[in-house]
Amino acid sequence: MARNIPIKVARAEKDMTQKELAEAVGVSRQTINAIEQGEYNPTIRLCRAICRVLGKRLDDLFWEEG
Amino acid sequence: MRKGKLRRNRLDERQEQKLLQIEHNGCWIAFWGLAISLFVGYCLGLEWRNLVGEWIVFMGLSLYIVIACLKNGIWDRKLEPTPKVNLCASIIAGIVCGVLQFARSYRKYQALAGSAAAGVFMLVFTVAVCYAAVSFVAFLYRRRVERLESEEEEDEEDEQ
Repeated sequence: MARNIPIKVARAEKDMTQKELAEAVGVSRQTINAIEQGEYNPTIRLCRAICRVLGKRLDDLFWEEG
Repeated sequence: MRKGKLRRNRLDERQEQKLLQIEHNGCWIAFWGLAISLFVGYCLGLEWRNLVGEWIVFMGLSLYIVIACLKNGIWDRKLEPTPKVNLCASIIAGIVCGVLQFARSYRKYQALAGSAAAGVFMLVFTVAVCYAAVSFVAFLYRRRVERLESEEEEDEEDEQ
């Protein structure tokens, strides 16, 4: 699975650390790190929570160009 | 070609989740089945050599769960590894072992006072050993979580 760069960029735009994002969506920082590294495929519920906190749409963060 | 066919996962996402759930249930049925089997065997006064197979599988399964959870920095869904919770869990284990020892001893010797003493000794001993073991595992867990957290910080800094 490819690394998720859009989440990292969106997090940087909001000036949030992995820990802050993790606390905001209610998961561990290991989980956010695994998503960014492409090691974990999150559920749609967690994807939506991340989008809500980062102020992005699902397409912006989780759509992969073919 | 044949190898490739065998390696390919034939399940879709939902089926994969369902299979994991079935395997999860199977694991806990095996765990509690073995625990009950050991419990009943001990109550009936069976010799340890008659229970050694179940004991090895039970301990192997338990060790695997503990080591795998520690490695991934996972403790429990609901409980925190605090001294109070650890003590409560140890007391429950102590009561179970104490009652078991009392029942086995009374069944064998029919001596109430002696059996009660054996039960109390087993209770105290089990609470002490369990509390020490759980506290040690909790210490390892905290150290592992700290390590996982700092590893991630390094990852983050490397990429910035």
